[in-house]
Amino acid sequence: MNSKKEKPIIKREVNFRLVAQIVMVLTLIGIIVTTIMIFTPPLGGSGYGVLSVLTYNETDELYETDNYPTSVIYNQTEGLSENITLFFMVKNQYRIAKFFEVRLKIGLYSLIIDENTFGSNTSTYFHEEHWKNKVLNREEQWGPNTQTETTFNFNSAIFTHLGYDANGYKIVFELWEFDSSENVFVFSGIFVYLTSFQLILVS
Amino acid sequence: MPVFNKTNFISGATKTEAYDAITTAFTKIEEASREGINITQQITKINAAIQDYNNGLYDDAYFKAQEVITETTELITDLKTGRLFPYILIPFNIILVAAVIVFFGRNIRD
Repeated sequence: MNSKKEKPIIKREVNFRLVAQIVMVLTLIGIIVTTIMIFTPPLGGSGYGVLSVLTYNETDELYETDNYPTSVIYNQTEGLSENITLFFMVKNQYRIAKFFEVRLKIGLYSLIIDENTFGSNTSTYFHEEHWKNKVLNREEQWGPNTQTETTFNFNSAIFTHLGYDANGYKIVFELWEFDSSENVFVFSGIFVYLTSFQLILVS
Repeated sequence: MPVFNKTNFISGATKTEAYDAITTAFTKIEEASREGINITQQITKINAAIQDYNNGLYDDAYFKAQEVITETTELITDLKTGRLFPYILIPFNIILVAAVIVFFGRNIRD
């Protein structure tokens, strides 16, 4: 005997109008989201730049972060020192291409420099006019090579501007980046310097 | 000093014009770079323009930068057009989905 009562089968009719409305709404959301994605840049500007100063070891034919010059002879009669040669290296660790500029500044020992207050006090530094600049692709490295060779000397203009400092001088390399929104180079906060660089005066 | 040639175009870019062209070219390169486009050739060209600018060859720098602007703009446009194409098909998809719903709906009701 079949004691179970047969349950009536409920025949449900699909509400096609509702389904169509849901599909339309989802499609509309999809269109809006994808449109935003199309016009939003996929890569951000997160990352950083790297700046190093090196010397060239002619014996081993190697660039090294060692044997930095500590002094130079300045001829007071000629108003000129011997040449000082350094090499720098810049690496773009951003996720996008960057336009870098490396600025060289010669300052007094007392020149205060940090991430925010870079060598901005013109009474304590003297900058060179010919800065080096280059656009680097992401992960691209610039130097050390002849392109990043920086040869400079103390001349009478620098000596007159800064005066003689028995504590020595600072030779500062600053990394600047081009800001497309402002259309100017801005200080990246990255710098390297040699300090207590002595000027040996001779006549 | 600008020089007038036979077609009355002015040739000879000033230092400012060359600099502006380089910065505009870089802005385009940066935009392309954000989009993930391979712009190695354009970077080589803009660096040549920068080199010319630093050597006082403002004409050469200007024209090289203009080439970079044109090429990079084309690359960006191509990418955006390519990306848009699948979404052009969206209206057709909507019509197709609607048609399927209506078609099957009628069949079941009948």
